[in-house]
Amino acid sequence: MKKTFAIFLCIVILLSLIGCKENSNKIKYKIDTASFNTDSSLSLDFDDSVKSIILTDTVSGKSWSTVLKNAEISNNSLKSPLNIKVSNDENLSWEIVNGYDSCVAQDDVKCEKINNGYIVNYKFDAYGITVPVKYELANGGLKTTVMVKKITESGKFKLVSVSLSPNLCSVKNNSDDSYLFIPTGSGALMDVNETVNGARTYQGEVLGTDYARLQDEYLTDEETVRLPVFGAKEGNNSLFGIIDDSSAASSWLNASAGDPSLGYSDIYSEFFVRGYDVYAITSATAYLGGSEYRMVSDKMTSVNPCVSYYVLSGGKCGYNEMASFYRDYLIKTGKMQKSDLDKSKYLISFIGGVEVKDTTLGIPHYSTEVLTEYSDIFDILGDISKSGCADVRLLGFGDSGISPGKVGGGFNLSKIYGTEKGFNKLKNFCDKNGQLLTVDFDIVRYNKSGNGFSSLFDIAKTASSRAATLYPINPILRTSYKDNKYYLLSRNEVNGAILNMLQICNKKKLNSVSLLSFTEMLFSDYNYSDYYLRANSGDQINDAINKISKKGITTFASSNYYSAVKADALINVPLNNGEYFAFSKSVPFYQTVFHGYKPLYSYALNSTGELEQNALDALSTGTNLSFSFIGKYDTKLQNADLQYVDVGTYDLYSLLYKNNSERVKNILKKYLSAFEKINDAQIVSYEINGSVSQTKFSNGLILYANHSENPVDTKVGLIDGYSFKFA
Amino acid sequence: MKKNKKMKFLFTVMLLVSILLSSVSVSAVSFTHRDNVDGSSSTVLSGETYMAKTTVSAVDYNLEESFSDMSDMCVFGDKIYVLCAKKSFIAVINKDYTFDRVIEPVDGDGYKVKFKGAQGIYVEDDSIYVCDTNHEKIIILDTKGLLKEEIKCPKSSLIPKDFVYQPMRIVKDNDGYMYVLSLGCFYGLMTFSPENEFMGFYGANQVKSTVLDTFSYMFELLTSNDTKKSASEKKLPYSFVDVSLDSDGFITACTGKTEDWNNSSGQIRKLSPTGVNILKKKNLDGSTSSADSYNFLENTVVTKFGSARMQSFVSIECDGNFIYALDRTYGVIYIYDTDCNLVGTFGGGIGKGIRLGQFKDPVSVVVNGDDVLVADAKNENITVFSKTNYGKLLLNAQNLQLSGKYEEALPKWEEVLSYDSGCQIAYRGLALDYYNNKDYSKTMQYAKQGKDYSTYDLAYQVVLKKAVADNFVWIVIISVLIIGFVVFAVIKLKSKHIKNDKLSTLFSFAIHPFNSVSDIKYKKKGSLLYSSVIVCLFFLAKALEATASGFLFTKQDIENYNLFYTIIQTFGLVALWTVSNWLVCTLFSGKGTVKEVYICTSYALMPIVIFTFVKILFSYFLPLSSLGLVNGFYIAVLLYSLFLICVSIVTVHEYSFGKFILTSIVTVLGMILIVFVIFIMIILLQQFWNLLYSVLMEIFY
Repeated sequence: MKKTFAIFLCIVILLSLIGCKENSNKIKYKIDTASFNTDSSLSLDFDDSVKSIILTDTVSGKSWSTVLKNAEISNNSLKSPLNIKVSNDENLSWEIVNGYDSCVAQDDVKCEKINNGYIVNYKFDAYGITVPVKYELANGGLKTTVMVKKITESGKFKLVSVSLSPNLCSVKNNSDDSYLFIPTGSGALMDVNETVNGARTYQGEVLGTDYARLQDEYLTDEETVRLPVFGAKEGNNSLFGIIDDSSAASSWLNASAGDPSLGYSDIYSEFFVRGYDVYAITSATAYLGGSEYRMVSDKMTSVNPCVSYYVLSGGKCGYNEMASFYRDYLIKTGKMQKSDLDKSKYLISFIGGVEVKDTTLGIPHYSTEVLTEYSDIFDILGDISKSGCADVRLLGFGDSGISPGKVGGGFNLSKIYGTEKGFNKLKNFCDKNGQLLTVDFDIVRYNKSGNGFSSLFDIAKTASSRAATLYPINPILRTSYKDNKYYLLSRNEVNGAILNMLQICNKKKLNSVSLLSFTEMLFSDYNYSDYYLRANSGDQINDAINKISKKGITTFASSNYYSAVKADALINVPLNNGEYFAFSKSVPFYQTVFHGYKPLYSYALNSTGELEQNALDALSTGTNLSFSFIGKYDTKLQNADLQYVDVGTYDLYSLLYKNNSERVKNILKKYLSAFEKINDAQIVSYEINGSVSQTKFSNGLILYANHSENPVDTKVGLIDGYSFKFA
Repeated sequence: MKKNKKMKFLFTVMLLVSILLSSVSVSAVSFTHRDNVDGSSSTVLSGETYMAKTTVSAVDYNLEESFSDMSDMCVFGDKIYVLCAKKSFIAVINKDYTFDRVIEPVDGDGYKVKFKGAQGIYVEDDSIYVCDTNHEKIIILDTKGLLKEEIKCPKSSLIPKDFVYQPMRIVKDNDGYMYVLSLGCFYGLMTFSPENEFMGFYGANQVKSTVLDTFSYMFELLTSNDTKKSASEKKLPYSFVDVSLDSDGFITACTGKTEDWNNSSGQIRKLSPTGVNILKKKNLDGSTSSADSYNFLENTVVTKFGSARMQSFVSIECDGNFIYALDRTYGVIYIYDTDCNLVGTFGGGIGKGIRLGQFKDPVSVVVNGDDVLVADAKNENITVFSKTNYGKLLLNAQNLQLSGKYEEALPKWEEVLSYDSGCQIAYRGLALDYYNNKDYSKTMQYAKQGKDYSTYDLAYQVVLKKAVADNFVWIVIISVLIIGFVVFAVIKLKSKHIKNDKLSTLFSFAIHPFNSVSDIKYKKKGSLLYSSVIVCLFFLAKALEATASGFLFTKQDIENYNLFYTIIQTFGLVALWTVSNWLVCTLFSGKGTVKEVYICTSYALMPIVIFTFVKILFSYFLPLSSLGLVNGFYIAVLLYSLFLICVSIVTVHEYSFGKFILTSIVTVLGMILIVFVIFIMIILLQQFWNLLYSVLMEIFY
C-alpha cells in the first residue's frame, strides 16, 4: 500500500512537474457571474512560445490574441504584445520600441500566474525598462492593466507611453463584414479593405487635447475621441474595448486599416505614463515635421492604465450592438443616470459680450462689447417661443463676455447686459413658460486676478513646470495672439471656483448652470501628482456635478465622456465623425449610447453654412437642435471673431437673431414635432444606404432621412431632398 | 530580417507622422479681406462659400492604379479629365462623378505612350493635349488615346539658346491659338498658331525693382570687376505656374512663389492681346490701380520657429466673373472677382490634410458647374466642393452686380447680409443698388458700412445739391453774415492795436516772419506759454483730424487709432527738431537758444493748425471731388510753414541760407540718431523687464 501510494505520489509529482514545464501557463477560467455581462463565457490562455495572451470565446470558438500567430506573418509589429515609447534623457529624442524586437525576441518576457489571469513582465533590456502588465478575466471581459508602480527604469531612457496589446483588436484585411470602430465625434468606422491608395491611419487623443501641454498652437476644431471605447468587428464576432475611467484621459487611440504590408487592420490604446511639453527648435518648421523636442515630466503618473475587452458574438456584434452594450455597461455599473429633463426641446444660446479692441480719447484698450442684453433675449424668446419651447443658455454674461477675464467671469452677471430687474424679468418669463434658464460659467480660463484667484499663483503647471498659458488662435494665419494670453486655473482651485459659482447661483436663484469650458477643456496640472496626465479629471467633474445637484441645480456640460455620464444635459454633441479620410463611415454611436437618457444638443446649427442639412443630420442621429444668437452686431466685431475660437467657434457675423429668425423658425416648424415623437426613446439601430439613413427607435418608430438634395424613393415612399419620414 | 527592420522603421515613421498629423491638423476656415480706410486690408472670417461634399479617388472606381502623381485636371463638355502622370494614364470622370473610362495612350504601333512627370492636360473636341514635362514635348492624343502628334521644342530665332523646353500647362483661345507654359520659363507664355507653329513669347512677368535696387545696381556698375561679375546673381522675373482662359477670351495667368520674405503682389494677371496686365483693383475712392501692386494673398507671412511660410499659387481657373486660385502652401482656394475683390475662400490643411476639405498637396483646381474640384497629389484624391446657400447667394449677387443688374442684385445682397453681417462687398453692392434706385439716404448708410467712398460721394453730391437748392437763400444770408463778421473782426483787431507785445508777435508771425523772429530773438517778444499752446493745438488738430473728420475725409479706423502715435507726431516731432537743431547749430556756431528755436518752430506751425481745424469743419460738407483742392491747400500751407521755419532758423542762428540747408540736413540726421538711441533704450528696458519676469516665473513655477 505504501509502495503503491509512493508510486502514485511520484507519478503525481512527476506529472505536475511536467505540467509546470510544458503547460504551466495554460489555464482556463469561467466567467465571474456577478459581472454585468452574465452570459459571457471566456477563457484566457498564455502561449509561452510567442508570449501571447489568448482570449477565447468558448461559445463561438473565436480567439483574440495579443500576438498574431499565422504562418504568413513575418512582420514583427504583428508579433509584438506591447510597444513602448521612450524618451532619451541625453538628447530628448523619442523612440518607439517594438515589443517583439526588444523583448520577445530577446526572451525577456516572464509570465506569472495569478488567481484569475496572468501578470506578464516585459523587460526591455536595451532600454533598462520593465513593464509589468496584468491580464485577468473580470466582469465578463479581459481586463488588462499596466502596473505603473511596478515599472522599473534604469539608465538614460524614460518610459513615456505603453501601447497595450496593439494586435489584440485586429482584423484580417479584406475580411467580409468587418471594420474597426472609433468613437471620434459621433462615431466612425474604418473599412479594413486593402485599396490602391494604401493604408489608412488615425490617431486621436481620448477626450481631446491636454490644454496644459505646451505646444505650438493651431486651430484644432477637429472632432475628438469623445468616449473611451473602441472596437474591431470581424464577421460575426467583435472585440470591444472600454478604457477605464481613471486612465481614459491619458490615453490615445491608434488605428491602422488596410495596410497591405501588414495584412491586418488594428486598433489599440496607447497609455501615456508621463506628460510632456513640446518645444520647437528655431529655424525649423516643427509643425511640418521639422525639428522639435519633447520634454517629459520627471515623475510618472500614479494611475494604472487599464482597458477591458469584451467579446460580442453571434451576429449581434456591430456598432449598434457595441453602443447598446456600452450603454448597458454604463447603466449597470452605475456610471450613468437618466436625466429628468425633457429631451425634445431645442436649445438657444445667447452670447452676452466679447472683448474687442477699443479706443477712449485715442488710448487703445480692450473693452467688452455687448452683443446681447437681457431685453434682447426677452424679445427674442417672445418671438421664437411661438415656434416651440426652448431651453435657454446664457454664455459670456460676465465682465469680459466670452473672452477670458476673471475666473467665472467674476462670478457675477455683469450689469452691462441689463439691470438685475431685467434679468429677473427674463428668468420669470422662462420659469413661467417651462424654459430652463442656464448660465454658463467659465471656471478654468482666466487672465485677471479676482474673487480669490490669482493670475500669478493659481495657474496650472505644464509637464516641464511652466505656467499653463494659452493664446487665442487666429484661425486664418494659424498664429497665436501673444498679447492676449490667458491661463488655466490650477486644478486644486477648481473646487473653490465651484463653491463661488454656487454662491452666485443661490443669490440669483439660478436653477441651472452650464460648465462648458471646465468639462470640455480637460487639462493636467503638474503642481500636484494627483493631476498628472489629466488624472482624476473624471472624479473632479463628478464631484462638481454632485455638489451642484445637491443644491437642486441642473448641469449642462460638454459631451466629453466624464461629464456626459453625469451631467443633466449635454451640449456641443457632434453630428459626424469629423470626416477624416481614414474613416469610411460616420455612425451615431454617441447618440445611440445617450439618446433617451440625456438631452443631447448639437453645435449651434445656425453658425454652419448648411442649416437645412445639419438639422436633418441632427434629427437622424437623435441630436436636439441648438442655435446661438446675438442681439447686436457691429463690423468691429470682425476683429473679435478671430480671437475666441478655442472653445467652440463663435462666428459672430452669422449669429444676429433678426437675420436668422425666419430660417430658424422654418426649421423648428419642420423638426420640433419629430423630436417630440422620439423624446424618451433609445436608438436601437442606425443604418445608412446611399443618401438615405434609417434610424430605429425603441418606441418602434423608424425614421427615414434623405440626406441628398434630390428626392429619393424609399420603403416609406418618396422622400424629398433634405427631408424625412417616420414609419 | 532586413525586411523586418525596414518594416519596423516604416512603422515607427508612420506612427511618428501620425502623431504629428493628429496634433496639428487644422480646419478649413472661410475668410475674406476687409478694406480699411487707411488703404490697408485686414483678413476677417466670413461665411462659407463652398463646402466639401465628398472625395473621389481610384478606390471609389475600383481602379487597379491609384491617382498617384496626379498633376492636373481639365473639364471639357460633360467629362472631367484627370492626368495621372506616374502610371501614364488619364482617368475620365463624368460630371456627376461617376466613372467613365481610363485612357491609356498608345502610339500608332500599339505601344504604350509614357508620360511620367507630365504636368498639364488640356482637352478640346477631338484632341487631348498632355504636357509631357520631363520628356520636353506636348503629346496630342485623340479621344481614344491614340497618339496623333507630338510638339517638341520649336526651332526659332526667338528662342534663346539656353532655353529649356518643359511644357507644363496649355490653354487655347477662341481662335485656336495655343499658349504653352514651360516650367521655369520667365519669358512668358509660348504662343503657337492654330497650325502649331511657334509665334513667340507672350505676357512675361516683369522684374520688380525699388529705388534701393536702382541705387544698388548703380553702385555695382561703378564698383564692378570680373570676380564680382562672376559672383553676381541675375534678377529674373518670376515665372507663371498656370493659365486659364476667361469667358471674355482673355488669358489669365498666376505666378507661383515670388519673394523670399513676403508674399509680394501681382500674383494674378489678366493679359491683354499685347501681353499687358489689364486686371485692375477698384479702390475705395472709386479709382482703379493696376493689380500688379495688389497682393492676392495674405499680408502677413506666417513665421513659425523662425522660418517664414510663403504662400504660392499653383493653379488658377476662370469661371465667368470669378477667378479661382489655389494656394499650395495653405491649401486655400481664393475666389476673386474681376475687380480683385476677395469674394471668399475655402479649403485649408497647410500640408496636413487628413480631413475632408483639407489638402496635403493640392495641385489643381477646376470648376465643374456649381462645384469646384481640387486634386490632391499626396492624398491621391479629388475633393468636390459645392456651393453653400450663402455661396450661391453671394456669387450670384456679385455676378449680377458686375453685370450691372442692380435691381436683381439688391434682394440677394440683403439675403447675403442675413448670413454674414460683416460682408463688405454686400454693403457696397447695396449702396450702389440703392443709389441706382435713387434712395440716397440708404446709399449713404450702406456705403458708410462698406467703406465705399465713391458711392457715398455720388449720393452725397445729390443730397448736397438738393440741400443747397432748397436752402439757397439761407445759405447766402448765413455766408454773408459770416464773411461780414470775419471782415469786421479783422478790421477791428487791426485798428485796435494789441497791447500785449508777445501776443502781437504771435499774430504777426505768419505775415511778417522776419520782423517777428527778430523781435523774438532781440526784443524777447516770444512766449513759451503761447508756443506751448500752439503745440497743444497742433496735437489737438491732428487728433481730431484722425478721429472726428467727416466720413469722406477719414483716413483712420477709429477702433485702431492710437493717440500715442499722434503725440509722437506732434509733441515728439517739435521736441526732437528743437533739441536736435539746437545741438547741431551749437556745433555750427549758431546763435540761437533752445527757447528761441522752440518758440519760432511752434509759431511756424500756426498756419497748419488753423488749416487743419478749418479742414475738419469743412470735411462734413465737402464732397470727395474737392479732396484734390483741399490737399493742394494743405501742401501750400505746409510749404509756407516750412518757409517760416526756414526764416526762423536763419534769423535765430544768424545763418546764411546755405548754412541753414546744411544744418537742417544734419539736424534731421541728428533726429534719426536720437530716435535710434531712444529705441535702443526701450529695447534694453523691455529685455530687462522680460528677464525680471522670467526670473519671477521661474521662482513661482
